[in-house]
Amino acid sequence: MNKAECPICGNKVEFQNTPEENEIINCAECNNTLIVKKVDGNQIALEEAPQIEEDWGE
Amino acid sequence: MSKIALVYNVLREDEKFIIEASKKNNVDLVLLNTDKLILNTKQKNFNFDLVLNRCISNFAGEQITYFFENINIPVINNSKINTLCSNKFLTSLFLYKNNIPTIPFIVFFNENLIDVVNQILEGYPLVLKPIYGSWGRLLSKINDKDSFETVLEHKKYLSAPYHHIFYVTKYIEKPGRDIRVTIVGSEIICAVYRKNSHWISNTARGGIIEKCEINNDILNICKKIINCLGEGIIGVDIFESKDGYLVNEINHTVEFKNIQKTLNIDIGEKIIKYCLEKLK
Repeated sequence: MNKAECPICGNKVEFQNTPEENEIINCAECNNTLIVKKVDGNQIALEEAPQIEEDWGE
Repeated sequence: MSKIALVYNVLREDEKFIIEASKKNNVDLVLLNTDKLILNTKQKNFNFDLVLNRCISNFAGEQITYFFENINIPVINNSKINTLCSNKFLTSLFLYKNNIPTIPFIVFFNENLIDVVNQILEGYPLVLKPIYGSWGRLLSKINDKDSFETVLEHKKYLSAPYHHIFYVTKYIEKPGRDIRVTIVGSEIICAVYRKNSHWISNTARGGIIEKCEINNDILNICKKIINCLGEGIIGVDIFESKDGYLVNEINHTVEFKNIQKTLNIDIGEKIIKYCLEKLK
């Protein structure tokens, strides 16, 4: 199982399958919304999800 | 075998439902992350035959749609739907032109006209909206002339030129909810009430969802929208007013995760099956 560190609380976030880049996830520990910034083999980098931009939406 | 490209810049639960449905239906889905996308007419031989545009950024999504359409790869939604639904003024004009009941609206450019605008729309409260935008962002309920003047002054200092186009609608009293109808192709999939004690009932603002039965009036409104706009994947927002149903907005990058989870309808699968149908 792939793991990555939550950039906010340091929790180990676990992934059943390899995530996609720019996938939005929630940290089970601190409940912050994160984004998968990079996937390189087993290395997964997480960042705090971006702020909503002015033209985002439906 | 035909392939579908799912274009995204942020992969949300909605897109994950679509990916799940594609796996379930053995559909070859190519994920196109806009961070890695270059729209280049010199590139030939794309390895997909249809684009499903799920870009959360309206302006980026629009350019992506224009590009692929012009190199003859069909896009869902097409540019007609994208352009019309992303601009609230254009949506209002479309509804007006096609005799689809909607909220009285006006556009003006000079703040000195607020008394005339108020008179035309029969008095406060009014609602001021940016012509582009979503999730109830930057909507202002204008209760009186003082607040109208203040909000317009603030808007004049916002840098995007479209903030200097003042799009105003009449304020509609709602029973603490509005209706969202989800349409995929020519199928009117489902309707939900979005309940919120706030005057903005968008679920992005914390509204809760309950099933709404689709009666004949709602059905006829939606059928008319499909006939006039053409097939696509859209979300129609309807207000229940004292004068009957009024269409507020039509959304073209429709979010459905909360509806899918609440009503237990696999909208992701409906979307994938609709894409497959378009590939035939």
